[in-house]
Amino acid sequence: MPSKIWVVSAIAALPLVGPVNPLVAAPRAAAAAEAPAANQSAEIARLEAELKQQRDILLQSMQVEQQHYDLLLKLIQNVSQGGLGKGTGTPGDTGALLIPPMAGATTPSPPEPPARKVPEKTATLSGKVQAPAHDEVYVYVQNVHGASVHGKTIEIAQKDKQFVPSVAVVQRGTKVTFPNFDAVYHNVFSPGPPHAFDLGSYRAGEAPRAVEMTSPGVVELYCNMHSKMHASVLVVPNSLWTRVGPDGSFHIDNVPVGNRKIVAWSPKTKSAEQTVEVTPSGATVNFSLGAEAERPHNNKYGAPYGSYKD
Amino acid sequence: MRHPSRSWWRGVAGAALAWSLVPSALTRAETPAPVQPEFGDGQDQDTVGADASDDDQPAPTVQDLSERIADLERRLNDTELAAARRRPTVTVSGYVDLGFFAAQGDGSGVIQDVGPAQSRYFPQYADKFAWVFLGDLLSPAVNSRGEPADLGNLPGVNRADSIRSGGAPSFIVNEVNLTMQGALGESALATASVNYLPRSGADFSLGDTFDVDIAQVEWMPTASRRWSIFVGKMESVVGIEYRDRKARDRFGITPSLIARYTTGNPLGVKVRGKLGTNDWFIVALALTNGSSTTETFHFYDEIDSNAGKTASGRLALRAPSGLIEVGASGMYGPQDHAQDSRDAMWFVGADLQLHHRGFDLKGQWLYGRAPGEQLGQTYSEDHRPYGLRLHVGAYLEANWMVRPFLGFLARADVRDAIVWLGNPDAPGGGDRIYVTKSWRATGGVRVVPNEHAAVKVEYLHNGEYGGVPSIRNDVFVTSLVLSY
Repeated sequence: MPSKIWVVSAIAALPLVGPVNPLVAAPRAAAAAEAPAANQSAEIARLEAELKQQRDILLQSMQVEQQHYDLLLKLIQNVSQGGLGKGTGTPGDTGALLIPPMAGATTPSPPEPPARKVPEKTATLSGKVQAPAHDEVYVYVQNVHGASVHGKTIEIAQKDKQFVPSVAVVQRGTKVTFPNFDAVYHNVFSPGPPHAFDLGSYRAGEAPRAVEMTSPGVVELYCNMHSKMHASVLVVPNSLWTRVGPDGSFHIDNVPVGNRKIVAWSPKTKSAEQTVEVTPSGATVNFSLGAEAERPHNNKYGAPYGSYKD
Repeated sequence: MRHPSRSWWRGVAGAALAWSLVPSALTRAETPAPVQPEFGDGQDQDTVGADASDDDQPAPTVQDLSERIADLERRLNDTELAAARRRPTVTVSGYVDLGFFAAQGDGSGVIQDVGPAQSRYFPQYADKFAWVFLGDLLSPAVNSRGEPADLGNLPGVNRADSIRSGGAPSFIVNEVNLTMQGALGESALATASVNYLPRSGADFSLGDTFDVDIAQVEWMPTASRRWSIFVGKMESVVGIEYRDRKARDRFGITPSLIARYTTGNPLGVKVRGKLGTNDWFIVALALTNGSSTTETFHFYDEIDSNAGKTASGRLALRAPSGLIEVGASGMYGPQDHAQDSRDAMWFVGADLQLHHRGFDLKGQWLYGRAPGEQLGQTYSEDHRPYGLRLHVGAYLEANWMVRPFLGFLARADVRDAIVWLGNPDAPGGGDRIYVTKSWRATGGVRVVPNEHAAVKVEYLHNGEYGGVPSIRNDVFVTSLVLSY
């Protein structure tokens, strides 16, 4: 089995490494340099297509491998549950393999279930946040990995030369679309990190452009044409986050026990983080956030906007 | 062109990922224990995510791995983009303004008031000035620069008539603009704007000229960048029309009848600050060589001809929403062209702006005086100050984008003024006087097919009142502005 995995991985890795192999890249680069610009573009497109194809091959290989392990796992489970002809598969479990027991074989004792990601013990985290303004303060648990969400989309509109809403919290994997409802052009960009992007210029009536927020962190959004347009998107790594109430209190349920890094964030204050021990009986953490002066930002070229770019 | 290091990094990332998959796969092959993707500092990592179906999987799925690949690629792109943006840059932009115009009559906005005093429209000036002209020289404007279709064949002057159409319909390249802007560190910005003006030549010489309208450094000394200090040739601070004086920025085509007083680019220093929550208070003060009139008009000194400087300023209040802004502005300084600083030219004005969605309403009122030549003073031929009584100059303009690509403009203008050269009380009287009692109604359409192009059409109906006879000088004008 290991040898098979090595082969699959090596085959999959070769195409990725190939384009950067100097022996391969140098002649290509030299040829591209001599070729007209159109040829270079075609060469780049071809290379990109090749890279994509090779990525697909890699993914397909991994998929095959994954299916293989899934089948083995189900086989083991079926055997351990004496699953001959008992239809132990769930309605959606059509891929389950049922292997007849060998004659005289004894039914093995049920094995330990595979380790699961979600710890069995969770607790409630609560606390208070002191901040200049409680209306936009959020608290989240940082060091708990949550799967990236799929197919979730939120909208941040550009309306009357403002982002609406100007603050949003999304889980990693969320797609954010930016429709422009103004007659004038806007150009949404973020200097990063965690996400540096430039959506280009478009106006009302044109298809809104979108960004998938794949990396946790605070994404600052600006318009390259209107310096006053600003929004913040907090990309959280999991579903363990909440908005602080008007009285400054908060609580988050289902926090796995253990040492947890808790972060309090607000677009108008400095963020703060604390590591707390979450026990089965819960944990309490309090924050005090200091006001942060609004920092001017540059345009997408890294230059100041100038006084008249309101 | 792809950055050479990009494929290298991508290759390294790919190889690293492939390498990382091998031990993971090996581990999984031996025991189906979960392998957690790294996140954060790795301190006591756990997983959660009842809202995600793949959380039930005991190990990273193909989907997880493909997400990691995508995430790595995205981070690589982000890093490259961030690195590229850190490089010092000079941005070059500009536009080409192509037009077509057709003006009534001979394209001129003035007529001469001649004949015996009793048969003149304004007999009171008959004995005071050698030449009396009625109307407005700049009313038949054909482009955003405010150039008239024709200055007319007026006696007693030899002027640079830049368009000189004689009333003939004509295509024209109004302006080719090149604007360069570079950041001088984190708090300063240098800007230069040059306009190239292709015009008719004469006597085997090219008529093309160029005009440096902006050459400035803007320094923002405070951390908030709400205060700016400008040095160089810069925008005026009087009124609001200077903000969209350029063809690329102007909703319509032509400037108002009072743009000549407020949209010039004086040379000097300027301070502009924004105060209060959401910048509700705006202050701008400037000290310049001359006034903020346009360079080709009667009043302008780029290089000063006297020791005194012109002070100008504007105070404005803006509603937090940006819906409304009202301002008051003024200008005071020695007369342009005069070689002494004894006599002052001054203007006061008020302005208003309303903005709601695609609708803008802009209005401005202006009042001003310049005494001109004084008795007992001597003036060299090249430094004779014009006199001015601007009784009222005002406009109200509505811009409405009914669709993102389609907008309409309506503007009403009025200008009541006299401008003269020479002293009417001197023996022999003054040289000439222009008597203006003009109103103008402008209608226009703006079509914006994309962010790089705007097609504009305007019709200007110029009218006269207060004893000035009607002058046929309506103008139909179009403009295609291609920005880059």
